[in-house]
Amino acid sequence: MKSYEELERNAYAKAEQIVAKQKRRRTMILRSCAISAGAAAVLGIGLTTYALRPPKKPAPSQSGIIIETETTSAETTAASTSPSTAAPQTTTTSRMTSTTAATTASSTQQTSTTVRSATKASITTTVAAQTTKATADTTAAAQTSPPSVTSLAPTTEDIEERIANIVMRMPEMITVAKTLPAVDENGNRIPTFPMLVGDDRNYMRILQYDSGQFDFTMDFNDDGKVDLYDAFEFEAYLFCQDQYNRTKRYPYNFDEMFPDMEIFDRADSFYGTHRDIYLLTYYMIYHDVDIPDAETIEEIAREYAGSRPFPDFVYTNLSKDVGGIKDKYDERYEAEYENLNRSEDEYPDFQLNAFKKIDSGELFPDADRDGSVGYMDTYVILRYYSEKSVDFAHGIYSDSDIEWIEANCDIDGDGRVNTKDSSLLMVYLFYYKNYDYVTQIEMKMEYMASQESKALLSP
Amino acid sequence: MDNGASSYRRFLDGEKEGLSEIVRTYADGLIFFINGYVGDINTAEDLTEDVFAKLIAKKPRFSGRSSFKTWLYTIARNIALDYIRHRPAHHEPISAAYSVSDATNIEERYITEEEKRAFHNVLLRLSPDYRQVLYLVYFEDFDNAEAALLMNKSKRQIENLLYRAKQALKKELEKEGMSYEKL
Repeated sequence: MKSYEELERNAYAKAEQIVAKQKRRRTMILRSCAISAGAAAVLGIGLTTYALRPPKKPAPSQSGIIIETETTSAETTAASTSPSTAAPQTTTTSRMTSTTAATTASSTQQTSTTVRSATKASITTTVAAQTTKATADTTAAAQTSPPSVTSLAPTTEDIEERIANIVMRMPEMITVAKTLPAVDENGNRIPTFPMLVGDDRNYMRILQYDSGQFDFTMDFNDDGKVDLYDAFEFEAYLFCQDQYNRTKRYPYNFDEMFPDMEIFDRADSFYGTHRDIYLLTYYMIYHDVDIPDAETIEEIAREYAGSRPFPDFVYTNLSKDVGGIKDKYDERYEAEYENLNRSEDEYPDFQLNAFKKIDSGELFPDADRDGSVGYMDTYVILRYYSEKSVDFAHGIYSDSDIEWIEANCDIDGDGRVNTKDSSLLMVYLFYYKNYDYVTQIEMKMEYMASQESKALLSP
Repeated sequence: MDNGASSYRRFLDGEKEGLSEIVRTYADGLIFFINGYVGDINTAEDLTEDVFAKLIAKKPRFSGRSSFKTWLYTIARNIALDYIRHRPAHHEPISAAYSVSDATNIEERYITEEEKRAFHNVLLRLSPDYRQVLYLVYFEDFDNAEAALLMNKSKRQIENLLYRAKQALKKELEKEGMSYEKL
């Protein structure tokens, strides 16, 4: 028998849980709206990118065969203003793939490219170790000379180390970003990390998770692997919390797993708000995890439909999206890696013309006005297109920013700055230039660090 | 406005002691009341906590259309019914000895009159509806209208139910060689 004090104490504890649960639901609903819009935009970009990509090469004839090729190269290709030299040199010999990344500095590098073309359409390319740190400098003298967009592909080990560094510095950089003045001494707006949206943000979450920044496990069913089953579990939990807990069918307890809102929010942002398991798919691709085919996904969904509480809702939400997403990802990533081997004459004219204009300096779509053309610019263009009025109202864009973007970022020349321009720039960076955005994020942070130094040194 | 209502008002105004008063005044009665639905004193205790938790978390408005006690018991009833509807099919049985011991302790704390206590023990043998209506009317001093509200029945249904419940209780009491003057 409990004392009155114990009853009251327990009641307060339960009340806290009720409030937390309400907050979770509210968060979920709000995020669902926001994420739907965001995901639509990002997905739109992805699909447009895919649609704009050059025509596919004939499919490899040796599906199911894993080929690993190691090439040692001391080649140095200057990334200059000439389109012919700026384009990455690509050598394709039968199934042997060798990619020589363009560099701005003379350096000896080893390039190891692994192409897996197995039954699943997941192709992983690991491009590797440089003797010098991959600090392709695209910022130098950008205003006076045509931009050089270059990249060095890092090794897996190098990536891990650099990722850890990025993640460790993220909070610091975000703090710095908040304290930085809006414009530098020349009147140029200083870009800040809130520019990280969509893919960048998702990517950063994966890095944070891998670096142990999140104190939750994605292996919700504790079967030793992170897969779609975990995502299904989380979805079921989000939508059927009460029923889910009451059924006691589960060997684990999400309420215990997420004892406070902060942890739940992180898991939610990682998993739950992406009902199409968008981020998990990223995760799987990033880690080269087997992504189940559409039939397997349907099978899992059917299994849940037969054994879980209120399954129809979950099933409907998951099954209708997942299969499609998976196919799109397969296609998109296959296309992306195929693009590594594409020669110039395989790009459609309108793309190639735009790329040459960028290379020659005729076009300088430096949307964030940081002096270089890079990954962030694709997002600034996207953001400008989708949130221009909001950002302008909040002072994020000045009149001169808008004038600049309008004047410089109409990459396809159709008279408007929109998602097509962002997508075209993505194709340019990712495919045409073999772009490495880990390096770009690092560069962005270096830039911000330098701004921080300036801010600290200034009176 | 009864005491419960004023305590609740003070709680809504930020005085924690208001809730403490409500707990002290109504907890035991609520446990018994809920126990009539769920048939397990420990679960009833937990659900009573849920009743208070709901007051704390959601701060529902008490309109004053009924007594505070009726209003509170209505919340308790809904929580009990909600529990029954969603009760796990394979919930673990609680130790009978522990349950009986707890029930006895709560009973001793709440039912001070020896006669009422014996009466209550017999009451437990009746069907849930009989038990509920008798409990509300004879232990909690609700009138028929309030009992009707709490049991989600019409006043007429309560009167009929009460009549049949009394007859059933009399038989049980006779088996024990007891009588209860209020019946």
